[in-house]
Amino acid sequence: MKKLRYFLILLILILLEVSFGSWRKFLFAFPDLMLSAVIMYGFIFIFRKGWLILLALASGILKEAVLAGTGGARIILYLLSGLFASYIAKKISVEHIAVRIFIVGLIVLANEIILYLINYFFKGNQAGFFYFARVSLLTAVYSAFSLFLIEKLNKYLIKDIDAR
Amino acid sequence: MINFRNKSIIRTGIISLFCALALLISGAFRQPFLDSLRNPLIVLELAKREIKALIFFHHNYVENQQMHRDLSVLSGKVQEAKECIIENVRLRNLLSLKERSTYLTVASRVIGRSPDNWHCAVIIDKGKKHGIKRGNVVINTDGLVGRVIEVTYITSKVLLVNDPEMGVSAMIQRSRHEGLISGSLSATLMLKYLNKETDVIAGDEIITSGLTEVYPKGILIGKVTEVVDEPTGMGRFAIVKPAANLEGLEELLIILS
Repeated sequence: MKKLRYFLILLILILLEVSFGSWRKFLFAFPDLMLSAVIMYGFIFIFRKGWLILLALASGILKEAVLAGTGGARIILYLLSGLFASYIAKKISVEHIAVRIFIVGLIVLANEIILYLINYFFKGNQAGFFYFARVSLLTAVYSAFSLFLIEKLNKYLIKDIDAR
Repeated sequence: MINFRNKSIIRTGIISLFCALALLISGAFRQPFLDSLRNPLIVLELAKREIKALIFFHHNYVENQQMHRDLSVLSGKVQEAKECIIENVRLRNLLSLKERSTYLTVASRVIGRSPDNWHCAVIIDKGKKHGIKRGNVVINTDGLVGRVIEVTYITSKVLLVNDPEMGVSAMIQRSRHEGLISGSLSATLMLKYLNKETDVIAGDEIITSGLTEVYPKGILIGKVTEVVDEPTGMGRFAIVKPAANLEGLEELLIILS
């Protein structure tokens, strides 16, 4: 039952994303809370890839369900991001929050660049370079710092967060 | 309990299988999932409104005062308009013109926004149950908002006019020249495929041309703010400010027929 709480957290995060998406006009971009959560699960489930895969796929499917048709790209990207975070956590220490924030920022930035390129080549996205740069960087920064919120939410709902 | 501590080949196989399954069921999963989000989103929307009301209390107060002042001015204008309507009806009868048909619309409320930086879409609280179909045009009191792209039983997804995937056949109201409106993700739209000779200036109003079956003729899209020569020198394009405030959408009208 405890593991189901991870899915509950994903549901809360997707509701937050959809409901507060209009606040983008103040923030100029919006944090990818679902991706931050997947990366955090990558840090937690280093040796339990099965759960990581399930959670990453669930996040991708939930996110795809509320988007305006991105063709499933996020499902694969979320899965790869989770696995990459898990790989990094195996290689270096992610005990310090600054390291975790930095890694989340980098992975989200890479995701945004890939998504922009997918939209550019397959859907004729005409966003200018500066718009792209601003949105990608801000999304990465916001997502990285949203890790505080997501970790707090995890700690509140799942008492022993360290499932390694 | 699920345990995947196996060889890498099995793991890769499972990953691929899950990927394929996820991609397959994603479509079937979307509709019930979106429907189940409706009620929590409505509650969150109400909470959000209250928070907004508290934050912008002073702004709302000043705006309210201004609106009271405007109301007294507009009351006089309504009387003038009534006279004009009566005169218009009389002239229409004289010219034996058919009365312009009105659209059959459904009002709906925005309950969520697509959390994606590369697309512009909103989720509304009306769906198949209320007669909405994929492709229905969405407007508000200011002008064109977008088009319905996905319908579930009680919710729908609306692609906004500033999404790069949108294309609307448009017309400059003053000169009657035609072009194509497309989104650019930012707060402005682009009126493309204009000739060098096209008569367009800043301030011109852009309306739907009615050339395609999808968008009825005459819906206001926005106002031209700037006219720019294309780098190739072959033509021009105009930058258009949308009439509808696409960032702050709350109530929408869906044109059913």
